Amino acid sequence: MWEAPLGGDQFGALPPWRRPQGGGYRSNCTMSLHEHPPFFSSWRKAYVFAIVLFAVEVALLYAFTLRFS
Amino acid sequence: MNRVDYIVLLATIIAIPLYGLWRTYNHPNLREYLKGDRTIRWGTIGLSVLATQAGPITFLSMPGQAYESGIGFIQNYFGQPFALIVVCAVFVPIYQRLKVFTAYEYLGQRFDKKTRLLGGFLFLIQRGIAGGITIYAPAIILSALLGWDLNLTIWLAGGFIILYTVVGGTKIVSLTQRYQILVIFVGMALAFGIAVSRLPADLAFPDALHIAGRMGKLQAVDFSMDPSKRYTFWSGILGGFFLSLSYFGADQSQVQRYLAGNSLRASRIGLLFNALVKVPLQFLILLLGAMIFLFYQFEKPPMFFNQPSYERAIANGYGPKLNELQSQFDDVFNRKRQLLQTAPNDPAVEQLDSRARAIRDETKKVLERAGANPKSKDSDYVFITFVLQHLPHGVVGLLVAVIFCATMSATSAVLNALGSTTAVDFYRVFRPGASDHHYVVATRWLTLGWGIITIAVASFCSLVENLIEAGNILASVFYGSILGLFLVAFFLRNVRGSAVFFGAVLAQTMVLVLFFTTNIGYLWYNLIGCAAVLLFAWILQTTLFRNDSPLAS
Repeated sequence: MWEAPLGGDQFGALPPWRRPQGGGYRSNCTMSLHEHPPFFSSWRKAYVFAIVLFAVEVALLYAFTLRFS
Repeated sequence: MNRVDYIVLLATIIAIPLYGLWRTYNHPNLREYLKGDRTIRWGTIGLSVLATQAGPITFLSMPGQAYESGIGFIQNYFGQPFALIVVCAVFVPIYQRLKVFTAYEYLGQRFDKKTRLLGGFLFLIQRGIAGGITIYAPAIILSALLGWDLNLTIWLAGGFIILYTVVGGTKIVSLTQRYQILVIFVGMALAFGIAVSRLPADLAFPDALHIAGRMGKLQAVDFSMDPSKRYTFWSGILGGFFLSLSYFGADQSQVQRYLAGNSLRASRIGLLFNALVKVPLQFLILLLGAMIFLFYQFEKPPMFFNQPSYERAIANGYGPKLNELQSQFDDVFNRKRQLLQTAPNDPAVEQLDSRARAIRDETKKVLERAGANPKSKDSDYVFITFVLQHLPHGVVGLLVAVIFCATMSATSAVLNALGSTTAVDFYRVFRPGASDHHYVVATRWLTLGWGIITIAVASFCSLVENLIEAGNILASVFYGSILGLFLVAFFLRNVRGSAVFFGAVLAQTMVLVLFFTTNIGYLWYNLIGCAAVLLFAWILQTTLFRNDSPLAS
């Protein structure tokens, strides 16, 4: 597995096969999301759990508002 | 403050950085200096992210905000959990996979050098000024109330922060933040407990909450669609989402915190921890403000909390007018207190409260006419006045230490990020190929330079509005465009460097014009700036720049 050099260079830790040709900066859209869809990961349950807990927090705050306002 | 308070204060604020220096003193390479040594776990990341966000303004200004306008400000944080989930799912894996030091380094890899420099430049401008506000805000209040010299307070606090941040880099920032936020938790919990215990003995806690609620202080959630209302559920979800997404995804002071994790998992759990604790934590801080409001329903508050400003007005010959207002205020307070003790449900209580507020507004106008120059909103002085006048010695020292800890944790993270961004995204780009040691030394000098700039900003800045809002307004004006750059990078795969660069320049110009010519609620600038970058970049790519060279990969 390729490892980035510690210090990096002007292309940071870009692996050799993704480095722009000719030494200058050029577009590289393979770093966009299309190659790594984020939500189809093992973390989906954690995200859903966080949203559910947040919904509970808002519901409690709303109940607090109704009770005391 | 007496000797005990000063001992507690100095011991607290000096011990933590000294411990950090002892734990981190070594000769790091660039990766260790900028990203820590890969031993930082999710708990430290979670607390570090929390501490970076919770600056001194949070603790000084937010209880005052609740005292003045109620706890509705909590809704500003409703977008944050969603933003943090998007950061976990989208931003963190890409940053970790590419092993970047800064968020803007990614822009350079995805687009080109000028886009990377633009992202870094917008960040440096925004954070350089915001860092100054972070130091200035507590200094102006503490110096006014404790009689300390303002510039000496700024330079001492700032100098100490610069010293340990320059020496220790990212690891010391994360390590010290862990203990600073613990001090903050303990201090705020003590203040809350004491505020509640000082309420009248015959007033049950639920009854006290009912009184605060009837006086409009406890409306936490408001589903109103009225756009003129500053804090609603909808503006919090939408505006707060974009503000938080920009802050956590594209602000190097936060990115550096979670990139210090020893794994992708540690970074994600640290961020999700924040998604869950932020709203309850802010609620408790705001509720503390509501408790202080209740406390001052039974204990006479100062008519104007910024007492030094009030005394300057008396010295300038406005004593008779202020005495007249004071006697009206005393009369209203006594009648209101009597009613609260005998008939708390009487609608006259709310009328008297409105009258008291009107007298305070009139007092502020008199102070302005007197040239007493109340530099920040009076509500910013509420919490610290309560602490100094009503808490026992020792606890006062601890609470002042809380303010300093918050200043140190937030400012050190900002300096660390400013130095890193300048070194990695500017210095290393224009001077490539030097040794690792050279870049570490350069980063240290740049961090020192930013520290001096930040202190200089703090020395000259004069706040125009509530402290907490000044920071948020400044962030909102710039964050939308910065976030737009990243969202184009992630989601618009066909857009290339020139289109996004000029799209972002156009969008930022448009936001600045709107800011200076209209009265739009500031949170919306995040959405407007971001949407404008996406739109302009796409239009430019499909028109002017449609013949750009194809993708490099």
